[in-house]
Parts: sequence; structure tokens; C-alpha cells
Amino acid sequence: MKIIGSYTFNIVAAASVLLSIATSLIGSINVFKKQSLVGDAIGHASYPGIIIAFMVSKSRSPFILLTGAALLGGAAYHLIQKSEKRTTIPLDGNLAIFLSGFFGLGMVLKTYIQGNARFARASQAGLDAYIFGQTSFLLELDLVMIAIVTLVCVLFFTLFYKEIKLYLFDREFSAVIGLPTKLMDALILVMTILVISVGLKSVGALLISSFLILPVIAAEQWSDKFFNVLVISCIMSMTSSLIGNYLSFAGEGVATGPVIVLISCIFAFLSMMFGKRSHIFGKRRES
Amino acid sequence: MIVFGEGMMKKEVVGIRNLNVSYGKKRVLSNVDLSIPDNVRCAIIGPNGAGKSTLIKAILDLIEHDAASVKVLGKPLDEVRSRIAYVAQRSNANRDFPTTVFDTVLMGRYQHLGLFKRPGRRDREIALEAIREMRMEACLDRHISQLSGGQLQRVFIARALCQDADLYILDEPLAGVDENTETIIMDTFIDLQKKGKTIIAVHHDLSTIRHYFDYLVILNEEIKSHGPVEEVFTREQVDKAFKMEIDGREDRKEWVAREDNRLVYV
Repeated sequence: MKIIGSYTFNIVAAASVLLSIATSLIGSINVFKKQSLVGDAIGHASYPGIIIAFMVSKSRSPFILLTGAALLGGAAYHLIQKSEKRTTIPLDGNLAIFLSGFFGLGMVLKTYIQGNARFARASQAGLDAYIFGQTSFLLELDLVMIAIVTLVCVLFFTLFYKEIKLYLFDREFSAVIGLPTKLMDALILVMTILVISVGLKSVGALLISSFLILPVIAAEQWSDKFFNVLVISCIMSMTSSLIGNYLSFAGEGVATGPVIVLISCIFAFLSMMFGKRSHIFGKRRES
Repeated sequence: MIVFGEGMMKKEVVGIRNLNVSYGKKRVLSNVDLSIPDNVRCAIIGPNGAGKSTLIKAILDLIEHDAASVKVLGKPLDEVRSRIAYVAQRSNANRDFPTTVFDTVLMGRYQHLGLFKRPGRRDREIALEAIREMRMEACLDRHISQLSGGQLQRVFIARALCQDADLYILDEPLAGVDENTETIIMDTFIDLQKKGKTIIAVHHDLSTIRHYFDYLVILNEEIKSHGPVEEVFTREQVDKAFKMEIDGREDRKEWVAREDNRLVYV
């Protein structure tokens, strides 16, 4: 079977390359804001959004499902913030509650509609793809949405590169010189939710946050400059995503997300061992 | 305008009227009225939990407060942000962020660049000059996590120098730094004053007040006294501010000579 060059694989490859750029940029924000786990919660919480959007619309249009994912991801984030402010439960406790709660809801709803005659007509095949990611289900519309989200992220980074850098490194300092830090929080949250939503079909709700974080952590081991970290992260992310997709195509039925994340993990391990900033083989940090 | 020294009129660099700050139910600052004159080296002192950092953060609008008015350099803060440099306590920055000494100092130029502009050659020169002034030129390309506490503080002060401000506000700039760094920082303060700038710093070491500063604010939830060091820094004034009541009992604090022969109040 010829994979490279086939129409489906072309779409998948283009989607992976674009998505890798978006996830590296947004992932860097999550990592350096020390909010990696928040992305994990949003990823899991977006799954019931997919199912509910399907139940309401009886359609599998990527746009409708993405809207559902984004809404529920946003709702979960909002609840986590509220709960952290109003209760004594610490952030990790809140993340655990809402992450598993929302994902559990998604699984319950999914098993409910599976045996239900009311949803028998609407095709359900493919809803599983959103759990572990299955790129062979990618449609042209998915690619278009990924392209738009990526363009928004790239524009945001190109126009406000130095502001983002300052905000990530020293939030208080950026507030004093007059940067709108609260507006940036909001923009970054919206972009995180969008990137996760468009990436669900490729990587899946369970592992999407790893796809955001792992390449950045790996890249961080190699350079002291933010710009270089972004570039290295994009390259690693693209590589693991392309290899992952190829393997998933070759071994038919293998879920894409786990393969991609596994390869990202290998990159991260190698970087931790051999990277110029790593602690394992080189003694780097003095203080 | 306030009267300062021998009838000389000095401009006011910070003017606060009726500032109150609470964290939850706990009142941290009450009825603060404060006026700090132009071109001084001002120390803010007071016991732990007296609200020193809070006062600075209120001036910079980093926390919620309900002051009747806060004026900086004679104007509302938003009109003068580009003329203020702030050095927070070191722990606030993300030390794992990928940035070198030079990059970090160059960030002090960002506010003068405007949107979409990158730092140019002139900005790099200014950054280099500030790094030299802080004697950090040997570490230009080092990642900031590789620096000692004193070196890191010098990097942040170099960044503040890059901002080319008129008012420098620092939160405990000498906390946990080595002697060499302390000397470099204090020499810089004197230079800045000669150039017509104003320095306001939270300070914790009472034994060096006379040596390092010429203006003093003594704080303990409210302003206990403020004015030129030679007038305000007396045993009675300091005693008044540092006397704290804990559980209704008076907590007696004493002057203690530390091992390094510095006099501190504990």
C-alpha cells in the first residue's frame, strides 16, 4: 500500500505540520506559565462537548463538534478557577475533580447513545476518534479549521513576540510597564481552548495536553533562548507527528494520538539526557 | 509641593492620600498619607508584616486599594509608567524561562520600543552599558538560572537602568546579596541621585540606613513618621514603629548585634 503521496495522507500530513506549529506556540505558554495541567483538564473536559454537540445536532460536522468541545473546555476552565477562589481545595485537587468529572460525563453519554435507537440513524463511527485520535478520519474541513487556528496563533506570536516573552518571564514587571496582562490571560485561554479543540481528532482528548507540552520541554533542554526553544519545539513536534501518522496509517487501526505522544516522549527523554541544559549527564545549574 | 530642608521647595515624586489596603479581613495599610520629595534616596522600613511591599505595590497599582488619590511624578500612574522602573523581589520572575543575562537586561528597553518593533543597535548598546555598570559583562550569555542571588539581583537592576526612568522603586534590593553586590548597588543609587533621579527602596537593615539613604519612611500598618534621615531616624521613632502587640502582650524587640557586626532589630 502506498501511503506517502495518497490524497488522505496529504491532508493528514498538512494538518500535522500546521497543528504542530500551533501546539508548540501555545504549549510554550502553558509550560512557562506553569499551567501544563490546566491544558490537560481542558483536553479531557472537551470530550463531553463533542458528544453533546453530536446528540443535539445529530451531525458529525467537524465545525459543530469543535464548537461543543470548545464550550465545554471553557466551562471546565471557568469552574476550576471559581472553585479555586471560592473553596479551600488546592489547584491540583480541582483539576482532578473537573478533569475526571467531565471526561466521565463524556464516556457515560457516549455509551448511552451507542445502544440508543434515537441516535441509530446518525452515524456514530468516528466519535471514538476523539478519545485517542484517529487521523484517518480527518476531513478537508478539519484541515481548514486547523489552518485558521494556526494562522491566529502565528500572527499573535509574530505581532506581540516581545510582549509575550516579557509576560511569561516576569508578569509583575510587564504589568508595571503597562501591558494588559488580564487581556493576555484571556487571549491565551481562548487560543489554548481552540488549539485543543482542533487537535482532538488528530491526537485525542486523553493525550492532547502531552502533545502541547512534551515538545516544549524537550526543546527547552537545548537552548537558553526563547526563540530557539520555539523553533526546536516546532521541529520536534512536526517530526513526531509525521512519523506517528505514518505508523498509524501503516498499521491500520492503530490510534494516532498514542503513537505521536510515544515518539514525543522519546524525544523528550533523549533531550533530557543529552540536551545542553539538562541535569542528567551535564552538571549545569549551580543554584 | 512640600517644604524640605531649609525652606527649599522640592517637587513631590510620590503623593498618597488616604490609602487603605486589606487582604481579606486583615487590614494591612490604614490611612496612609505620604509625600516623598524628588531626588532623594528613600528607604521604607518597618517590622515584618508592616506592609512595606504592599505600599510599593499599591503605588504601582499591582494590588487593589481604595486610596483617595495616588500620584506618581505629579500625575496618575498610567501617564508616567514609562518613567518608572520597578525591581521586585527576585522570586517573582520565572527563573526557568529560557533567557540569558543579556536578553533579560534588554527587556528593560521594550517599553520604549512600541508595538511590533524589535530592539535595535542603540538598545543593545544601552543594555551592554547597564550590564557593565553592574559588573556583569563576564556573564552576558549565561542563563539566569546559573547566577547567584547577588548576580541575579544585579541583572534585574541593570534591566531597571535600561529603562532610563526618573523614579526607581525596589523591593528589598539588598536581601540575600553578597557584600560586593551591595556596594555596587549602593554606588549606583548615588550615581542615579546625582543624575537627578529618585530611588525608593524597601530596606531591612537598620544599621546601614544612615550610610545608604537620605530620606526615610517608617511604616507599621500606618505611617509612623517620614522625613530626612537625620530628623526621623531616632531611637524613639524606631521604637515606636517596631513595638508590636501580639495577643495583647507587648512583644519586646531588641537591638542585636549580628555576627557580621551589623545592628539589626529583632
